[in-house]
Amino acid sequence: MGLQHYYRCGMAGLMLGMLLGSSSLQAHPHHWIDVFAEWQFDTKGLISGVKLRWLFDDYYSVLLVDDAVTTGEELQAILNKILSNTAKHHYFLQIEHEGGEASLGTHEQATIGVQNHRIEIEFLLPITVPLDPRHSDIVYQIAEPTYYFEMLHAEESPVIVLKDAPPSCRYRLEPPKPDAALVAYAASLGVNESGGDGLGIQFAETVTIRCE
Amino acid sequence: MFIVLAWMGAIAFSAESHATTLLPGERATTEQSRDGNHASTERAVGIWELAAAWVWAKQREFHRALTRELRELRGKEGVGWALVLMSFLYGVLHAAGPGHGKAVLTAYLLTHQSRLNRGIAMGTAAALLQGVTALVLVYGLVGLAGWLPRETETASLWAARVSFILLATVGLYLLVGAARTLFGTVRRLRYEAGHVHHDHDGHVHGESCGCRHLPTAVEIDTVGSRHATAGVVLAIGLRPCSGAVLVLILATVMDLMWHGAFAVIGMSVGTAITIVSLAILATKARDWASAVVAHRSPLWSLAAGGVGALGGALLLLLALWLLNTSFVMKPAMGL
Repeated sequence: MGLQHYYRCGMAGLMLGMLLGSSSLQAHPHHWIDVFAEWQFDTKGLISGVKLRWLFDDYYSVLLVDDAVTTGEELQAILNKILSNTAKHHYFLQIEHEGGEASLGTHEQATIGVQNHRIEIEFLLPITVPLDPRHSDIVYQIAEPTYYFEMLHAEESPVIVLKDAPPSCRYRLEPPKPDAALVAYAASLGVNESGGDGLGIQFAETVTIRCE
Repeated sequence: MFIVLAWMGAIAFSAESHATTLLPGERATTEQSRDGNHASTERAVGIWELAAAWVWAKQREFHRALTRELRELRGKEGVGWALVLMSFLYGVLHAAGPGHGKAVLTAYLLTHQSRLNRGIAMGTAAALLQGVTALVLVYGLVGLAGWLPRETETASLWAARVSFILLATVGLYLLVGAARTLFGTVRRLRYEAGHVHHDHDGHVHGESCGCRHLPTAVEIDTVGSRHATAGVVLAIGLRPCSGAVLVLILATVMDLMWHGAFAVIGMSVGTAITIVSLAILATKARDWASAVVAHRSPLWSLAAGGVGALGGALLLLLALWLLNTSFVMKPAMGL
């Protein structure tokens, strides 16, 4: 008994943990998208739309492009497919203002391109009722609901632009703060498993836009 | 090993933190904005969850770093040692995360008597076979047979399914073997109880009679255990490591076939190191447990039979569950 006993018990515990904890090959997320956002202000200082740019990871880009090349599909068709599918999920964008969710129009001015072998799409989302950032903060999050894709603002700058904004406007970006239990859960999800549609948002950044 | 882990930690720390950005000339608000999502879910976080979270964060970091490294190698001369080293570290780490290969090997070694070098050989063979599977799958199908990179995902999925079916077979095989031994032991114990004064030398040691005491090294090397060992190694090795598939597909597209192959070799060696460490732990843990439980008592063979059956059942259930989840395809939302 003594120290060695504890050591052995610890080892046994570790092995048990390994067994119970092992469930899958690879954890969520499987792909990622670097996001750029340009918030457009009208002459009255209201936010009337947002131009989003999504840069897909190299691997996913390979899968998309290669498919397009061999099936003779145009990149444009891929763009249309992505946008019509994501439109059903509010383009993965959630804007909160004055206690409610802002309503988004349909995408406009959509383009697709290849940048450094990575697929990049850009589109403008009009905001149906322009938001006034002077009275209350505008808080937005971008996330693919199932967290199969991780969507974060890109690390290069400028990643968030407040276009034509009054000089008193600024934004702050808070990194996601998922707790360890949640991360452990995401880590346990295999490539074919889903953690539900509420997982992605818990790994999303929170951006606040404020004008005083 | 610890130096390596510390080093990996250091890389990740420097690469983290996406700081608050402000408009030029503006001052940060000190007021915290409302944070609806993380509304303090106060609950105890276990050490296991913390460890899993740490491994997850590092894997995610490596995933991106591998992609970046490949991108930078494009059009350059040289072996790309940085990529090989990174792949090696990824292998070490990836194998430390949750994964079915480790579960299978640990379950087998914990529940079946094996010699230490058998465990080591199993771990090494399984890890290297995983690399070979990825190489054959990607370079063979995409490079030689002209498949689409996307189609290798389907091929990987089927390779994984074959490995699960194989695993289920191994589990069933072990379960049946253990059950036969168990019944034999029970029959013998009953027989002995009824014939207390019976001359012990009279009974016959048939193959399934279960008259085993602690098995000797020679006894462990039965044909049955060799079949099971090969089955376990194949079941683990046939399922390609997703990191290896990723690197190889990118390497194919980027015209970095050799770099990709070296990277996968590095990855397999890394994986082997972790899996072998785990195999040693499992073998030692079992040896210790069997030394504690009993010494050459007939009850021990009963217990060993029970544990062996449990191990077989565990592998069988794991395989069926994995097989089931592999058919529940979940496409990413709209992408």
